[in-house]
Amino acid sequence: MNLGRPVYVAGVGMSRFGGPAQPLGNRVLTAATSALHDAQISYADVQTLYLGTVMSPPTYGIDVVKDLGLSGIPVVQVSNASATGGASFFEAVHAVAGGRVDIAMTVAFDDPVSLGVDFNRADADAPGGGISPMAFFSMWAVRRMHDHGTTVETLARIAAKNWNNARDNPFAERQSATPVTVEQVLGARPLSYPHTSRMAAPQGGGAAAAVVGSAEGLRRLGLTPQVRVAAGQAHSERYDAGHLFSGAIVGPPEMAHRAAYAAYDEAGIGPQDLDVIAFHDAYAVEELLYYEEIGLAAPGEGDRLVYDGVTERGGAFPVSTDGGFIGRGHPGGPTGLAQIWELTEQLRGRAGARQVASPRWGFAHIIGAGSVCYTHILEAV
Amino acid sequence: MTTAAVAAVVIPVAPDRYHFGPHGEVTIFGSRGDSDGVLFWPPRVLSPTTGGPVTRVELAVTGTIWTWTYVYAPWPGTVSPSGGSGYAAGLVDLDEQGPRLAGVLIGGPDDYVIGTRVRAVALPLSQADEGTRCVLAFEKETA
Repeated sequence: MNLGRPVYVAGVGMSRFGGPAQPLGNRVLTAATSALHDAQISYADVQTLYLGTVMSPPTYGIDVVKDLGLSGIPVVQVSNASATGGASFFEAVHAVAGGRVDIAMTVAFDDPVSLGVDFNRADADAPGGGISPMAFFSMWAVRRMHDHGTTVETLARIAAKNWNNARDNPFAERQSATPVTVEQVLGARPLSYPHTSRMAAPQGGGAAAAVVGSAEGLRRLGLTPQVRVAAGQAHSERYDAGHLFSGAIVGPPEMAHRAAYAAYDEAGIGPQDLDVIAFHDAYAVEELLYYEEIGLAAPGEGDRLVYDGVTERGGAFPVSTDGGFIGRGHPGGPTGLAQIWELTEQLRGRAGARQVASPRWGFAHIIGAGSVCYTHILEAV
Repeated sequence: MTTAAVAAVVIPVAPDRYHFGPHGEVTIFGSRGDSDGVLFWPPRVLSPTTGGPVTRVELAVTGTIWTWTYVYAPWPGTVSPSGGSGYAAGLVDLDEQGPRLAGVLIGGPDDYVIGTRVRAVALPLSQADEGTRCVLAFEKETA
């Protein structure tokens, strides 16, 4: 699956994840208008709109975005579990790549808190037995510790890194006033062995948006291309021994490997070329496993990256520079677009205190229920 | 806590996936691919490996812990599977080349390791007029 013609990120926008309670509609319009302002276009220039939400009612989004203007364009709502933001970006990019439109926009949003949604609560009446997502990811961690000798401290170091990256992100849900230590992460409330509450993503409300366009579309609007979408991949599970067919998180991390290497092929690069990386790090063990799945380290050697500082902002492979799920937050729908926001800011050199040195290639990975996986590679041009 | 301790009428929460007899018997339903013999849980309409037909089968009710965790949050049932405030959960590889499935484990945070042998039991979830609603769970296999 390759892009048919070049596609560029023209603008990105976010509302802060979490923070003081506010109507979700305010978050949606803040993110959308910010992206339009960033792209220096008006909503009248947008030719198709993809909405992304996991848990909002079916017509909620189309109602809210009426305030952007009743321009008559196609509006489609996308939902693909936690990968929804990645999915809505993928659809917008491919609407342009396929030649249907020159300018597409996506806005994704969710507010689990206001809806009383708690992904960590067991639902025993569910046919699968009600084991919560955090239990599944924690079981990944226990198996990892068994197979490769990973310690809880490795997970705590990953989480502390992401908490501290979030301190420099004004849109992050977690904004600690003081640096977060490994000891604080280890000493936090136990959630599900071996994860503590500081090793898991918070789930306040949020919204994020992106505008993408073709070279012709940007030229017509007088815009200069800055960030190119070099690859966009959508994958789902393949069967392997031990495959789960029932539960909150059923898929194997191997899907990340496949989606990453397909994206490398599409972009004509390899993992060694990546300059800034965004993962689905809802729980700390995920980030560790994905280091290896996308080729930053050999199998079983991801722990070394953590202890050597390779994935810190100043390291060779900066990961979760905006705080990732653990620091920035994970409302659901908008999370994948928050990744695109961070990569775009980094590649344009506008990430402020979070800025990594002269990045060219950005990589985003996100999964939905362990069953679907999206990867995107962005390039500074 | 297990089937023997609950009311005689035991109602499975997911009757298409498992069944409980009046004397503690557990039946786990699955599917076997007609062409490749791969076993699946829960039962499938078609084979995920071939797209071809499957046959409904009864799976082994014993297995081995592939991984586990202990969740420090309440189990939403009338009976605590740990006897405390949290609950253990595991991925179990069923015997006889059976599939892997997720389930609650009867016991505390120190009762399981990878490789622990387990057997399926009924865990009471709630009381209904007709009997006790139970979910599929696992406990340590006794010699």
